[in-house]
Amino acid sequence: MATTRRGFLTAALGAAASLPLLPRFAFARAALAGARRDRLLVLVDLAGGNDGLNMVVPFADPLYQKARTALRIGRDGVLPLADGIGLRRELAPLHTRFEAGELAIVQGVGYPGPDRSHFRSTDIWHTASLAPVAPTTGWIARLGERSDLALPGRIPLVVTAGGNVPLACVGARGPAPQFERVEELDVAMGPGAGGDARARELAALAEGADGSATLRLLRETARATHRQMAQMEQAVAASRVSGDYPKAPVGAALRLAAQLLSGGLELSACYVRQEGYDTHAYQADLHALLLRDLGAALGAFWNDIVAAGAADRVVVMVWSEFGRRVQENGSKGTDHGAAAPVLLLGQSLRGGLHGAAPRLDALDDGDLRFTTDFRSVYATLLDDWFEAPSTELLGAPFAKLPLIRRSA
Amino acid sequence: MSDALAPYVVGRDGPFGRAEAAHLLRRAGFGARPEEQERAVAAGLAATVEKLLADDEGKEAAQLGASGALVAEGDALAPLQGVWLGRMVATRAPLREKLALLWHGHFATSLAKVQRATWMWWQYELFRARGAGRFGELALAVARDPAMLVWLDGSSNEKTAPNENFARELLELFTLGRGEYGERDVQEAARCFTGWHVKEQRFWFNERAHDAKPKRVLGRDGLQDGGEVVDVAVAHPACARFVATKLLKAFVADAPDEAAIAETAAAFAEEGLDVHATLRRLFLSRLFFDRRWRRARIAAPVEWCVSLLRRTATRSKLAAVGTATGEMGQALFAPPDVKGWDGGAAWVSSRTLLARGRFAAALAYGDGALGTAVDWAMLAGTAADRDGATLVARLAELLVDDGLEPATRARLVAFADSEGAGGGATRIARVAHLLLSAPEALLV
Repeated sequence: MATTRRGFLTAALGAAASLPLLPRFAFARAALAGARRDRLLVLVDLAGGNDGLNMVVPFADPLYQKARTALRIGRDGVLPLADGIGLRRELAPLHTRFEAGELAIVQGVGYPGPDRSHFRSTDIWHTASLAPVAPTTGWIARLGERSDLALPGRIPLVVTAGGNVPLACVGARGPAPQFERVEELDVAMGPGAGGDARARELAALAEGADGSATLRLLRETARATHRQMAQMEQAVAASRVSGDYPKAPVGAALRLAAQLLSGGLELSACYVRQEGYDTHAYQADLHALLLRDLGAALGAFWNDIVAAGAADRVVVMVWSEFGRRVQENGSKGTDHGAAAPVLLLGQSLRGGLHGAAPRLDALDDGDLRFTTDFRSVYATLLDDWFEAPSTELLGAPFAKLPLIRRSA
Repeated sequence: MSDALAPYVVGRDGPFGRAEAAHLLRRAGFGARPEEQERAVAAGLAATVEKLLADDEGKEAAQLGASGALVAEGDALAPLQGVWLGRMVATRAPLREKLALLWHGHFATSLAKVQRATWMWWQYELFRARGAGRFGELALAVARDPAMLVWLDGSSNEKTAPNENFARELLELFTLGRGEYGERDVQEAARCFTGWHVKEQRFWFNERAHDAKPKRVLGRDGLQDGGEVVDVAVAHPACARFVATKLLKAFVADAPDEAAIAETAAAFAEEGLDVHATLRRLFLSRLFFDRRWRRARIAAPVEWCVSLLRRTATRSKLAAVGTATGEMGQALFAPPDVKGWDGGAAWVSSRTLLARGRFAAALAYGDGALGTAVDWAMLAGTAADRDGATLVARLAELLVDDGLEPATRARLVAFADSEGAGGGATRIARVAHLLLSAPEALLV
């Protein structure tokens, strides 16, 4: 029977693994000219195309009521945001933050020439580029690879979700580290003495710089895995989180994110994905369940962030690759659409509604016209949150939004 | 016939030796043991390709047929995965399973939404039965397949307010690729598929829900029925190229170059989109045996595990293997989305590499959960108690068709020597574990 040895990765690394983790949230202050290292962005990707109209609901608009018969959300289904606009009750934990001035809702976010392919639109959001052939690196990975963030011993970006590593988190040096369950940080080294020696031998197999590009990618990822997973394991061991997360995968993913944060891992960004928003049929129950899980998971996550004393150093951004068609289809669902709201959560934000609500009387082939370019949201986060040059990282300048309350 | 996929002439273009036979058997199947490779060399290239395409399951066919019945019990994912993996491990006609795997990734449908294991199994049987024939017939059969009709909501597509889900993915992901159609084509195609429903677990044309007015799709007027949309899409020049690229990614290279795509697309079009005929030309071509493709693809997790189980002849708990390939990024019957698995570099992340490492250890040392128990002493044969170089050579031949980098080989030899020649099965298992954990062990 094989012996399973937790901690093998630490053994494999020898001295390198004992890089000290910082005490909880004792972030390093940024160097004067560099990006802020004491700031964190949590990306929550609602994969499949979230029906933004049924998240931030213009319930009083007769055109909304007319377009949505089976899927209409009435006054009873929402919590008030502004005259005639409400947040779905399923997101009650977020509404509490809205009332505290910590939830910013950017309305009508999209881009020119919206693409209704999941995959193309996902690439556009993840790379922040409308170029016909998407770049090979993601926008947040580009931030993470800046030399002042990617210091030795620091892990700028982590994916705590299963599935593919999202393009947003693939950099010039390969994919960001990813894991979904704590148990994954575990490798068997076989029976008998000498396990540590074999672990070092195993790590050595990933050395070497020659060979094809594919082989180099495999080696580089393996080396990074050995280095990073040991640090993550230590952070998880040192973490303190609540048990109030929903059982759904988005709950587990945000719980892991909270563990890494409260365990002292020096992160700049963390990516979480919630799947299932492609609601072409029988949307009502599916969408309600997804929003309930999302609200509960973010509520629990935020409580842990507050308990860790980090609520002014963390911003959460919730978005989707597109919204859905205004007119529901005959399957009690909605087809692929365009503009949708982006939610941002954090104590350093100016809470409230931002940007213009998209008009239901001026549709573009049945879809909402965007009023704010998503790259303006990115530019604001890069410039005003991370104090990193957005024009350089996005490849072009974009108008900024008054989202960040102060720069401490 | 054009000169697309010019034949590989043994002698003039190169040999058909162990290396070439191993390459062919890795790509058209799940890899082969040294003795099978020797038999292929003795039979020659043409006869080996014909044998692969002949698809003769022999006496196993009846046994394999029976396994589908197991699936009906419950709608859990792991047993369903286990039954298919069992076929892949046991079959004498691996190309058939490899094609089914290709089409499963192409028409990617998930139990997560379909929720009926039997329907998923029927879809797999469809890929298996039709996967080698004409692509147009396969695409039409998939459009009428109950699992697909649920997966992309065809079964609720009504003329009063059409559901665009299937129509969009048919054009974007199944036949043409983005940029070859417009939004109007999606909307009109969706109207053609109205009324394509499911009744009593079978395709049912619900005339009352069908929009009978003429539609215009991809420049063709007067279309009426979904079948005509499939015909028009499959006849579109972009289709041969789009699907040929998938064939190349499955059988030749993670990132085929433009010349390879153009050549294969031309051959595929010449063959009337017949998969069997195109694969024959591909497997006999100079392009296929180009040295730069060999051991340059990253093995898909299913391909990798099945290959190792076949090469080591170990028993295993196949449902658990299904869960393991899922952790490596490829859960059979549960692809991440309708685009299927991206493959290539997308297989590589810290999480998936750790999962591959766990499987390597489970195979090497034996594992209760996976049920693996390799008889290393038997497999190593006379090399078992020999010096490090001899042992490593034997394991490398058996497990990775000699595909070790020189530096890796040197390290493994030094390690095997340090363990001492009297180490028996434990020493072999340790060397095998390290070998399978080397980055190049993931290449096929």
